[in-house]
Amino acid sequence: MDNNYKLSKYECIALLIVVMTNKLILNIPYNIIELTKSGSIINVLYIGLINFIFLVIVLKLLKPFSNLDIIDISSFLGGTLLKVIISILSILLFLLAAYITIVDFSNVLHTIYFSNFDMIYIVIFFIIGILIANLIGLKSIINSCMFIVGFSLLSILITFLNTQTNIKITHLTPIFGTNIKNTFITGLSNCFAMYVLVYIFFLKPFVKNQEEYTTLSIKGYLISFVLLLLTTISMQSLFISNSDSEPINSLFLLARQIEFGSFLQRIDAIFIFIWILSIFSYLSVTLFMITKIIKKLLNIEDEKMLSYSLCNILLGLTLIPINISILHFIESTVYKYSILIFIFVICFITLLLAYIKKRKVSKNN
Amino acid sequence: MKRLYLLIFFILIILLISTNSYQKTGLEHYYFVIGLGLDKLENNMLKISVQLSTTKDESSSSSGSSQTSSSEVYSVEARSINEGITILNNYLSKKLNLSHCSAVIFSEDLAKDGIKKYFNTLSNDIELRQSALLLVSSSTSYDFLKNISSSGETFSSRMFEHYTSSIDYTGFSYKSTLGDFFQNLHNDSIDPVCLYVSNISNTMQTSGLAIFKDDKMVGNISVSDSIAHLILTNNLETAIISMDNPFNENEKIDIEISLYKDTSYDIEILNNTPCIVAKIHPEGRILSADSTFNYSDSDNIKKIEDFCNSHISKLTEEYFINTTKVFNVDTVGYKDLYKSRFLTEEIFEKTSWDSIFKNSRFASITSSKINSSNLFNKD
Repeated sequence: MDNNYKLSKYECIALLIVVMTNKLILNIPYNIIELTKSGSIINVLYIGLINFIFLVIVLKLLKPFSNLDIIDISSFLGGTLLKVIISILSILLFLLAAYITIVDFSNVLHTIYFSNFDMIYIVIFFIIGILIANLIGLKSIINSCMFIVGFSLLSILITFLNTQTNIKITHLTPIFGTNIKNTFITGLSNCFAMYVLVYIFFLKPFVKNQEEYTTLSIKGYLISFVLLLLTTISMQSLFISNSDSEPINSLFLLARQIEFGSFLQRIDAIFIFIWILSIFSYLSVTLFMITKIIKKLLNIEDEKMLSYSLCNILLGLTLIPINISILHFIESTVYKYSILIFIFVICFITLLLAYIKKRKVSKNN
Repeated sequence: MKRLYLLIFFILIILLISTNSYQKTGLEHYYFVIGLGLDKLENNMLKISVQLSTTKDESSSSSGSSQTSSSEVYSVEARSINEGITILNNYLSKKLNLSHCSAVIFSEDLAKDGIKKYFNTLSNDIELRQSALLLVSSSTSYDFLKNISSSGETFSSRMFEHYTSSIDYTGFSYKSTLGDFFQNLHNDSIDPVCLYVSNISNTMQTSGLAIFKDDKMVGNISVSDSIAHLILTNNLETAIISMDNPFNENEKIDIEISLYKDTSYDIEILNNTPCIVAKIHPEGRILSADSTFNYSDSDNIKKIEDFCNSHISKLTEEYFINTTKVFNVDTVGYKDLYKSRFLTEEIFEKTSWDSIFKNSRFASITSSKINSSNLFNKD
């Protein structure tokens, strides 16, 4: 495994975009629309601004900690105990993200294309893929991200452009949704949609040029935000605010609408293929992050065996029979609030306190 | 090197196992459904009819064309769509595939009972295209499929095409797809409509639009109303309207109209009554003329424009009465249009739109532009 590979500026941005596109594939824009109805556009702009301000603050706080991620920073702040706590929470969050992604997307694939096959084969297909990518190392993961990011972006842009003819002003109004409170107070929980913020706390040690980290993070964030906005607008054309239908995968239903005349129809099949590769890349990144955190936590030298055992754990988790209502609860409640608490409370407070400590130490020196 | 050989060996084994020829499926294992019909029977039973594409050997024909295919219609009685398809799969000994289904037809009787439960089954079917046509037939859907099979169309997949293509030049048709109907069915601001077809002299002809209140068909409107529907929903391509000739009471004048600007609306609530004003902007080409007409005279054109304005206004006002007053439905989506003026849903709900909508008043302001399309401007 290539342990010392460092990411260039474009590779890091591509990684952030891959993370975001996978969240878009897995119903996040629909969750926003479900909560804030026709006020979704305003809500996305609002949470985008709040998250951006948060990102700028976080990047400012991260500046003195060169080549350190939130695990190292927690170790600096509170010693081994805090490091263990933050590491375990991070592992649980990434594991939950990987679990939801595999189960949800395998379920979509099973429903749409492979209903004759047992879902376990689809899950194994993903697990073997991410295992191989992790055994080869970060370079292979990044190369797959770099390869797929363009196609993923293209699929989202085509979906957006194709739905423009269906978008009417009545789909986007009343502009503030159900009421102001719902859009701006309850809708704050939609901040979880900008999931890329989680990676800002972890990616710093992997970046080649530490000086560029602020710029590339902002660029990655802005591209992710634009993607979220475009997908939300497209989805509002299909899932009208007062609609009572809930899709298994909203982006897929949107892609099903795409037609280039009567000649080229059902392009969703191509998109699903692109998204499978995109999910592969995202899962590989997630598994890589978990491996790195465990390695730091337990001071393991060779993480190869960790990849095997983590893949086995993931496979075991996906084999637990859960029904769709439990999965929906995990996705829309457990996962959502876990991300919010992790980013805006745990990581931020740790970083803030570590920053204050660092300044004190510097002053004393 | 040893590892590489071992890896290749394992990959070959996996490939051999996964490419199991005993599970292969090809075109010969499927029957492709072109049209799916649903009829109501007694005791809550359904009659499910499928029109299947069957290949036809045309090598002996004098035309020499090989691009022909015929179709056959089969039907079964069942309690649900899926049960019916399972029975047909068993009976036909091939699996039915809906991925090339061009139209889904409900009989009027079934549509009047409500189609949501069937529609949810259909919209969950991954094979069925969102662009498939949705039709309501005045007769049974089985008769419809039988009649359309004997329509003389040589290529089975084109049998339903004229319903959608005629929208471009007649205005009598409406592109009612499964996808659009599904969206409107799940939207409480607009009532869905779909194409209504009836059996006239053993051919299936468009007879206007079927009007739904929620998921139940409440009635149908004429083809002239369907032109008004297209004008008011900004879906009009072109339509030919015949109106009184302003220069000769005994003659009619034909005008091909299209919209040069989208229809816009002013909606106000006055004395607890919604007042809807539609601003229509048609442009027209005179297709027929009588012997006394002079196209180069601007006064004559102005007179035709005035007649056209009043004709289109009357057409849309009649449509409004037929839908809103008779059936109490909102097929245009006035609720959404009015709602867009509010900042939040909460403020809009104070207007109690749903309860006052039936008392709405409608007026249309038409400003048409007329040109001659004839080779001679003056006779």
